[in-house]
Amino acid sequence: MQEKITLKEAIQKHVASITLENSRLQQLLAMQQTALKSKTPHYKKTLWLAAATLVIAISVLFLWQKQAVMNRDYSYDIALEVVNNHIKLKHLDIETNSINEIRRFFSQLDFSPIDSNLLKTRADFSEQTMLGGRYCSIKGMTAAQLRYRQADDRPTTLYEVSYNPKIFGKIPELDKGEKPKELVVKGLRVSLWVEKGLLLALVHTANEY
Amino acid sequence: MKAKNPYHGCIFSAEQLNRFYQYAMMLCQQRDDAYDLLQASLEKYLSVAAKKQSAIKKPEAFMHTLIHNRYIDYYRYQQRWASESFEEEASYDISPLDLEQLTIDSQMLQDIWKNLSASERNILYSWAVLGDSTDEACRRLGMARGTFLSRIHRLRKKLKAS
Repeated sequence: MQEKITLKEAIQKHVASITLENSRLQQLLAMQQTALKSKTPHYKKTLWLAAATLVIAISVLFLWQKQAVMNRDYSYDIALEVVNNHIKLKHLDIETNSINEIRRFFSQLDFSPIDSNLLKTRADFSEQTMLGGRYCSIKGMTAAQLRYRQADDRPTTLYEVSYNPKIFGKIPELDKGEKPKELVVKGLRVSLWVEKGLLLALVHTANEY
Repeated sequence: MKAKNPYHGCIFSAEQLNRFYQYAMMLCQQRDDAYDLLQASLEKYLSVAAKKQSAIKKPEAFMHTLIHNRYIDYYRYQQRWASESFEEEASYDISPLDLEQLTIDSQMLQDIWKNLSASERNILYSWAVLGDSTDEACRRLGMARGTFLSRIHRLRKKLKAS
């Protein structure tokens, strides 16, 4: 007859007699080791992949937007702004017919006003016809407005501002042999071009030039 | 900086794995079923550990819960998990002393063990092997105190009758 023990001891003995076969135990230990070796868990890989995709997407978007801004045509906006300035004909900050005086006066600009090669050959844009200049702005950038008097006494204005393609978009460049862009806004003709790193906008009556 | 291993401190020893197997065997009574239950639970455990190790405060207790829940899910699906009435209001003799004083021989336990339900074996395992108090056992088994005590009461009657 078997010796009687407490129920608790009997259960403990019974449970302790159950053992996992060695081959199966090794499989479970190996399963843990495999997980241990996988230093970067799946969710982290996914996170890294998502982060990399996001960075690439943002970079592409940024470059695309930058390129889109560079290629965007702001000609009409610029023309409209300079035409509105021209129509107001505000008083001149300096009255002179000397380009050197003009250069000395516009000390607040981040560029020096130029004597355009395109207009040099024309008598109506000589120093004799220059009336003077004033500060103004085009698309928020400080610019110089130079005023000339034409033969029929009508004024013509030439705007000069430091050229930034991100702000002004693509404008024909004289130095690359490109011709000025011509627009007619509010009955006035506007010529836009880039010369020596400056954006020039000439506003004159539509029937001339 | 070297990435911290998400499983650090969560790997079980052979001895621990054997204890889990004993628990799985106690529930399933079949070696293959017990092994499958243990393997599936360990897979789940490693997956949780990889996602958020900090969520596992007591690895062994968590593993016991996984085995228990997985077993219930499986047997509920199989409709083999005995449903028992909730007897919170009933009055029972809940003194553990009576159970502690029961004596039995090994062969008798083997015979009785086969006829106990998984739920009853679970209670006995919790009491005899894990040394849980009533509250601990209720928490571990996800059982209301009244239900737990009523089962103890019936179990005691069954054991005494044997």
